[in-house]
Amino acid sequence: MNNVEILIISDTMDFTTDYICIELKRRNVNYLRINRDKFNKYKIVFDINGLTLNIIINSRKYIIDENNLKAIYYRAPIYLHDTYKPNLPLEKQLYRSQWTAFLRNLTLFENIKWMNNPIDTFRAENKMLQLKYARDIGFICPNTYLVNSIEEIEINKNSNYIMKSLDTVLLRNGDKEAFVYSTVMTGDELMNSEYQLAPVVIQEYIYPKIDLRVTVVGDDIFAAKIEKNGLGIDGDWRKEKENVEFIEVELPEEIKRKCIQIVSELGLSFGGIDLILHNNEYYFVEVNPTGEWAWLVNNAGLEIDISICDYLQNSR
Amino acid sequence: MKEHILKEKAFVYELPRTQPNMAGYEFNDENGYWINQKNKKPCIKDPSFAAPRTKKHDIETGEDKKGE
Repeated sequence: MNNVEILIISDTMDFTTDYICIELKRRNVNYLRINRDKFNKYKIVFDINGLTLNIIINSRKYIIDENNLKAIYYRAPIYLHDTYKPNLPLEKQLYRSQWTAFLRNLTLFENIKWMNNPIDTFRAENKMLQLKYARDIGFICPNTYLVNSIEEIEINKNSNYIMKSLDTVLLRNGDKEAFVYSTVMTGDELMNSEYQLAPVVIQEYIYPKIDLRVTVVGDDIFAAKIEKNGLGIDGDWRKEKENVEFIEVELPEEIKRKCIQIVSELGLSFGGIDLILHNNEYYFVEVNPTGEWAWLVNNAGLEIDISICDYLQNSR
Repeated sequence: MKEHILKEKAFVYELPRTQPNMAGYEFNDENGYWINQKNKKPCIKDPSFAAPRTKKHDIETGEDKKGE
């Protein structure tokens, strides 16, 4: 029988979670990783009377209650985009909807640390809200509009802009899939585009620029610049991800403070913040409450895994 | 009629996306990570294992598995 101190919600193919489990095992912590794709292989009883979650995995019983539980590391979507999966079998629909609801109900563990609580993630994952918070904190933000018509906003046809989706766009069409990156467009192109069907984000294009990924874990901060051949990248660096370098950098104290502050004010303990460095000024682009980080451990030597374990392990 | 700007600028690719080949590795439920079946060492510490740079392995589709 095992009293779990740290519960990790993940799925089997999420290798980033492996980093955390390896470190927690090294520290001899009582942790449990449950994988969403294996829920039907586990035996689960959530007893509301004792606020106890019992899970049997391979005949081994794990007990999760607030007497012992310190933290939940939540590496799962906060909701599933079922509109994107039109032909799921009934069993799959049932599995997806009900187990996702099960995970949401873990929020009844209110007196523990979360990284991050999905309720906070749901709220924080709104680009316009993030920009409002960032501006209030004192970050410089690119001019940003959310529109389904550009007639009322001032667009210079010879200037460049960033066009991006408000939420991840992943479209399925037969045997093809489509994803929308942040895209550099001229004002002229924007003026000749169609918008009415759905809102999009139009943003001032800051260039030349250096992209920075700042990972905040509680009060710890890890920053890396993203370059190709020693230079910043025009447009969305993810299009170049095989050819870029991630190099650790030190941020000014004021920027560090603001990064920690925005994550905290959004109710989060973890955030992957995208900044742009332009003319010695730091611009806030967005914060990813569920941002990835393992690539920064591998490529920039940032000990984010260690910091996450420290955060999860620290007593209430 | 012109397509919506998001549809027009979308990056289109063929399905299925490639999945990592896990032959030779197994997931250890008790430890909570993948191990090499022969030497029992963690898979992500194995230099021959291509560690994913993003959660979706090959195509960047946002960071919280929204593409699931």
